[in-house]
Amino acid sequence: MQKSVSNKPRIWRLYMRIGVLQWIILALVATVTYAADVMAQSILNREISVHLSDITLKKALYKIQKETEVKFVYSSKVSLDDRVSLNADDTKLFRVLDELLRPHGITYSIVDEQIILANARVDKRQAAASSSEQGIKDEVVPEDIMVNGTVYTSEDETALPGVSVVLKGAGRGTTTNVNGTFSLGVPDAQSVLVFSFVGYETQEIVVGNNTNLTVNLKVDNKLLEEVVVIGYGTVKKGDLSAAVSTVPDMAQIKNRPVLNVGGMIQGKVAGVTVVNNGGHPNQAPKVTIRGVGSRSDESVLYVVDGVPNAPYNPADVESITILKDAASAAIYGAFSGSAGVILVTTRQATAGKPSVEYVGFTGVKTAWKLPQSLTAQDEARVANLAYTNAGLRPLDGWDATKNPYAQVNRTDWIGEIFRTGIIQRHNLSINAGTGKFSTLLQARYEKDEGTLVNTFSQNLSLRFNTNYQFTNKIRLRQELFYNNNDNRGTSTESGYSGTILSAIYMPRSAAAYYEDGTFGGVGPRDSKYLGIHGDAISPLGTLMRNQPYNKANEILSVTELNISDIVPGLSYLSRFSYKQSDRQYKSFSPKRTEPGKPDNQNSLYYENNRYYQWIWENTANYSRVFGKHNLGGMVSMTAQENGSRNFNAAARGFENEADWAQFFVNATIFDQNRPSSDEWHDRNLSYVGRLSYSFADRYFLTGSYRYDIAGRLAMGYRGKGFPGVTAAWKLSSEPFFNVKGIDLLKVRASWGRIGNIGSIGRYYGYPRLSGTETYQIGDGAPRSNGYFVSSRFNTELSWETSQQTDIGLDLSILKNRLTVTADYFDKLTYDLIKRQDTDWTQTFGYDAPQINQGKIRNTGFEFSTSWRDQVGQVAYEIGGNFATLKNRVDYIDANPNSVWTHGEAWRGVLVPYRSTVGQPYYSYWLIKSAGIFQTDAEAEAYTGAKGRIQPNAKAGDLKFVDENGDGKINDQDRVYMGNAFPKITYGFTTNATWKNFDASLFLQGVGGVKLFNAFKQSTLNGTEQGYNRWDRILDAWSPNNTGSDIPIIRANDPNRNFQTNSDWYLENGDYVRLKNLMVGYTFNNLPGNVKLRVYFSGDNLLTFTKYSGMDPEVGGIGLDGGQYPVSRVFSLGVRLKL
Amino acid sequence: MKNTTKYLLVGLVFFLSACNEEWVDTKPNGEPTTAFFWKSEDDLNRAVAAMYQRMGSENTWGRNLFWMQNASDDVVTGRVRSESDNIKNFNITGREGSIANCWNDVYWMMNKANQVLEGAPTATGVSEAARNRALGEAYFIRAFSHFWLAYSWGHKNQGVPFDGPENPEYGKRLPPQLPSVTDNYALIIKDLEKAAELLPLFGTYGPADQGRAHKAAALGYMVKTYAYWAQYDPAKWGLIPALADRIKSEGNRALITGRGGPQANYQAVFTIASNWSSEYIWSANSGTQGGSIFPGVSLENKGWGIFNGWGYFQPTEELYEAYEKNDPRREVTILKFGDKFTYFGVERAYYSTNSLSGFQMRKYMEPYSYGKSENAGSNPMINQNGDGPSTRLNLPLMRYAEILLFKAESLIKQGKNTEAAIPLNEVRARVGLEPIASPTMDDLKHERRVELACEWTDRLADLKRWGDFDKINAPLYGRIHTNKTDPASPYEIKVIWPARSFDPAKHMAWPINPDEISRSNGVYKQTPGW
Repeated sequence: MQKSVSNKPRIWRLYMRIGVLQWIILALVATVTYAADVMAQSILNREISVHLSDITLKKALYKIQKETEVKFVYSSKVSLDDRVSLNADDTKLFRVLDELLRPHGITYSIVDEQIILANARVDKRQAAASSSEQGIKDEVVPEDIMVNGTVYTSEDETALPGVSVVLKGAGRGTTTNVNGTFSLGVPDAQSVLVFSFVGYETQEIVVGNNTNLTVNLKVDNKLLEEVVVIGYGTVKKGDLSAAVSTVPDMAQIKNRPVLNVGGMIQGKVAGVTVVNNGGHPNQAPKVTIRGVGSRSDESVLYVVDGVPNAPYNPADVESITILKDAASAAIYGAFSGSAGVILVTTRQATAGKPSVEYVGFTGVKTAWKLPQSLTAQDEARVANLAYTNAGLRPLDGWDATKNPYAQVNRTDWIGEIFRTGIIQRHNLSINAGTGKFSTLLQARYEKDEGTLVNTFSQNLSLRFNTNYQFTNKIRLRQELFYNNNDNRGTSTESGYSGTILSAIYMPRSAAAYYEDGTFGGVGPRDSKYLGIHGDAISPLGTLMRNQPYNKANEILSVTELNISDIVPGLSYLSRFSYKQSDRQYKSFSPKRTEPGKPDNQNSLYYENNRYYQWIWENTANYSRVFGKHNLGGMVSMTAQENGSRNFNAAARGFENEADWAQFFVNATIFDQNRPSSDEWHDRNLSYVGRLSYSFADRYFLTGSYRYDIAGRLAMGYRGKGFPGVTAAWKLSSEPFFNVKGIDLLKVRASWGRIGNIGSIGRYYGYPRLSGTETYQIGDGAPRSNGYFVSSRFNTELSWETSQQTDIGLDLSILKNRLTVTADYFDKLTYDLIKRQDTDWTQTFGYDAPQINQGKIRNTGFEFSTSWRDQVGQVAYEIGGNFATLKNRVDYIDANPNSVWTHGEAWRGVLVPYRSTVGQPYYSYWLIKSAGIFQTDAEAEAYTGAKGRIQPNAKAGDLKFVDENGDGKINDQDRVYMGNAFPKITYGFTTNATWKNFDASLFLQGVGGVKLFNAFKQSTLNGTEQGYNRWDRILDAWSPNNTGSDIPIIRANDPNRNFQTNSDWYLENGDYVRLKNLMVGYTFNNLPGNVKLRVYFSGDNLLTFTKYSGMDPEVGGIGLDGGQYPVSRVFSLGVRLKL
Repeated sequence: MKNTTKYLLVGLVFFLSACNEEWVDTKPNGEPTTAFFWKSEDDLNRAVAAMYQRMGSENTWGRNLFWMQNASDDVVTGRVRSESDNIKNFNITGREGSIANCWNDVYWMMNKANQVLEGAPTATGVSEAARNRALGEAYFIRAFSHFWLAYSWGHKNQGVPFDGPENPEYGKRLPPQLPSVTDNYALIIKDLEKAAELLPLFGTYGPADQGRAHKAAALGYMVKTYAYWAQYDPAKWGLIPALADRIKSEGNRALITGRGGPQANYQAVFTIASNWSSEYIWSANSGTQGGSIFPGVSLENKGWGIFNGWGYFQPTEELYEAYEKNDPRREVTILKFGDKFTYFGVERAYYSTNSLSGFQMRKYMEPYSYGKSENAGSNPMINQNGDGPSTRLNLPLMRYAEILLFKAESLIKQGKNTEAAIPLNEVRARVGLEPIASPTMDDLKHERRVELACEWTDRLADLKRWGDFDKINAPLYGRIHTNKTDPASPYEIKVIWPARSFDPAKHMAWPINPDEISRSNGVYKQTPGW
């Protein structure tokens, strides 16, 4: 067992004191403008919309100035009289300026928030001439030379249509035709032609004597200049040396009816597996980065605008970055939870005249594939057949002459509980600002109704975001976010009361409502034959009786002070965030008197909960360029505290169940439920540092280290450090590298460690007693409270660590039209924290200690690529990603026979999971089945050394494989048969625009998934206690239906067809989904500068799968007992900006 | 601005250097930490309370421990439940939740007793009387849980795992499987002897302490342990009579009599009013919030639409026929078609459309007689939650009548048949039956069967220790009525449970969950034969 806990608190404290001072001194020595860069970047990244039609540049810039509040400054040498036309919507300012100014030979730069215009640097001769140009700016130039030419791409020399060709200094120009050719009249041989095309570098050519020009345009590498948010900073995408992915197509994704980041990421990033936990509207999908490593809780850390676990409005998300490798996530140390980190940035207030924007969609949701139960007559038939086949007398209640009631169909329970749900989101933003102060005010309402009645999740939020620019150097950002959530879910997991399962269990002869309007039970109250039915609960009652008050208010405040150039090159950021959430829950459970599983007692339950979290983070950033050497450093310190107070109380015995009476004053029984209260606080302290160095844009090196001190651990075991190292070599920047067509070639390698603290309970260092109660003591069996030690305490418990090595390649070719990123990783999680489950038996009588044991390895290959191009007026983009994942238990303990047993069971009968070295974690461990015995003789002939292998088997029973050949079927015959986690994930996206139309298509799929369809155990089983069944049981084996794979219908099960953990339940869970199809139209020429886009979107339109359950996206460990299915959504959206 | 910046930086330096590892140390609230326990009588009482927690669990004396007893010839599973059917037919692996969970819960209970045995001796701030009672209760609960494990899973050639804080290796190893179940019995007796010494008499308990272990209960389980042990070592029979007499004289235990007739005498035993009667030795204390759910579990499935009976365990024709014609106990024990009973305040005649045998247990029906107009909510004696249908009626686990019968059995086994007549006839006389002058084993078996029928005294264990395997294997009969909704409907007697194949070479003890054996990494061996 590896142990890496530092047990030297005193030394650390000393080091810390000195270290901090040193850091500050170090930080006080330098130049460069981390913050200023960010500032300029943010101005240029502002999105603006302008519609200019044949006006002078000067007027055009004036219009932009009004729109954005950015000032343009220019010398008299710069001519702004050229006439321009441009239509741009939601285009970044730099792109607009490039388009407007470049053809006219004007460059720009940002100084103190002003955009300074200048003539492009030309040779001295031209510079000298430029003063004379001033004088003739409005003159008509005679056309004395006709220039023809063809524009090619510089790499593969294909002709480029649509390239803008402009005579410099004049308002004249043309574009190349489909063959890439053009012709234009110029005044003289000194005339300069400016060639520009989106995605290519603008080129100027002096005409000279050559009237037939061949122009090769080079690909613009601006894409590679894109800035990517990483932990505690940003980096240029082209300079990344770690495995960091950004989610592409954010514009499309945001329009889809997905209400959380997990849903946005699904299928978009290689190596990130997102599995919906079914279709529960109030549950988020499970996001796993590079495989499951932990044996306990392993959740991804979300960092929103620098604040861990901050709430946000998903409509506001601008970018999502996933830190896939440990080296990049190591900067979040123990809080990255060994699963990885997802960084979210949201829209910020920008300068500009007040604008109002509405973005919203409304959609309808339906379940796409639902099971159905037997009709009343079929249920009777199946019940009688089951008893007859078991040698039992059929029950009188199923005799149509004796109990005709049970033979009439009254309710389609599946139809009763499923509906078409409405999903909607409305988001209104008001943005306004000057260079000194800008604000963004937003309001959102969203409601996601599930396809099961009375299930939903609803959010109402208000956000106020401001930016104060005190001076060039000092900036303050303040964020206020308020969210109100209300949600109602249902449990579909239980094998006894799961909602969907109950809808199958209920007889179709039962009425949904009795005549008095109350919920109907399994039969009429006065029926004499109720015992033929199982203890099924009306799913309609379960869903509709759940009417809690369940409001949670969340408030987030983030205050961020940014000081740049304290001394040149040093910037300092202090960020304080405070989050508080208050939840009140009031639930009244009425009596359930209808036959089935009655509960004749009502109860009122109240719960109040307050959670808070504050984080104070102080970061100093330094970066400097010394010639070809680029040096950066960052130190940060974070202190955080979170805590919660909780209180709940309940009472029973309400005579009146009316809404107005659902208060404690009307309760009569107070001694059966004790109130309970709880309070906890948790503190953590972290120190973070990073050094980065690059040489000549060729060699990149970074090293980071984080030291976390966690209060929840026992004294002496609280601190641990997490290192990360990355390196990259940009071959394409080497002087010797001169491969045509390759714009970027970079190899990367990284190594790092992250920890997991989530798996350790709070106050682990202070083992507490557990409370319980008994009714054994005292006359009348009152409640007595007891205390006990619930588990053994392991003083030596250490942290779980995940160590990962990554090797990657970034390639960009054909003018950046094709980009490829490939990665191989090897992630080993060790010192896994789990309750000891080897050498620990139930005979101890209390829980095992938490121990560090075992290793789980995940290795995988990830590949993503995209192709962007334009054909005529159709611009398109095709993206794909593909990832493999191999998950293995690498080591358990010194005993080679050790296994991890997993207790997850279906109705206490099926326990299908186990883990062992060499197999995936949570493998299915099952007996193989080999079809159905067609005759009694065949069953009798199935013999081994000791006679019959399945002594109780008859025709129609499952044949189990005697794997070890010992002549009997038992655990020794069980084999490992894969697990539920996808081994292959892939996604494929196409986006295209044509004129005002845009369309996108997104396919997503998984492979290597095995699902355990436990729903079959309860619904295709003739022995199950009077429950109605899935209508597929009609296809069960019988002497007349020998081709079936469903065992014979029989009210007993001596062969244990349904009680054996066999692969009969195991199914292929692979699927390919047409996840989204979207078509949009943008209205460009609406009056009053109004911009409007409307779109239609379909989600989960088609699913290709062999899985026989409702939906293959079962979630969790793949145990499907009738999971709430993922639904199909059709939605209509609008984006309107005034 | 420059100054502001400087101040900020100075502030930051102070903040950072002020932080140290102590800052992160917050202290827990709520439950006490283990370091501050065993310091008061309240602590002691709470630790003792935890020992009793599983007395009212569904996995134990609520239902699941009865699946194994259900394999006798007295009862059948009244409704289709394949896992239970397979238990009754000895066709299981041991992994079945219905029996594996029993093992888990009873060991959980034993551990809580061990926690008290570890902590109570050095507890501070407690009186010696409180300490002794706590230790006595702990020895009793450890022995009681140990006994159920021993006789259910223990085999002559392989005992069940046991460990306790008196062993130096306790906690440092897997509790070892003992060589033989008789080794378990020996340890159980040791614990019960200590318990009997330390525990007060039941009569000293006020209402607030009823339900706690007491001296007669410890002596009673010594009797039962010796009786079970005696199948391997007949010498143990000799130890029983004296203990039985102590239960009577010291423990002040006696049959309920004088209630106006033989049937009334016997009927009175199974009433809420008799929860703490002179006949009580040990019960699962039950009430409207918790306790044993067995009354609801054995009630008509769906309770005729009024309350959630589960309809599981139903008496057989064999049991009905075992009674002497004039034995009033039959009608108290068994409901048959046409029998009148009060149900939620209304009299009705028994019929069942889903009883496999045509019978239902009647012993636990008294709580359902309360209330009015067949309205379940009006009944103050039952738990209104049909998912946990406990009642105010305690579930008797040992009554004084059983002690008398063990005494009789021990005397017969020692050849003192005429002496045995005294305790045996005491039981018969209470219900108005003729005395038997010199009872034989057959008389004893009969008496034990009918007196304790449908109780948790374990008929299957009796058949096993008596070697009456043919009775286990015989097909079981029930009454098939022509009209199951008519209490007066005629019936035919038919086989309701086909002959089984109990094999004494294989099935003398129940199998252990194979996962438990896996987790022990081979240290534990499966029960011989399985």
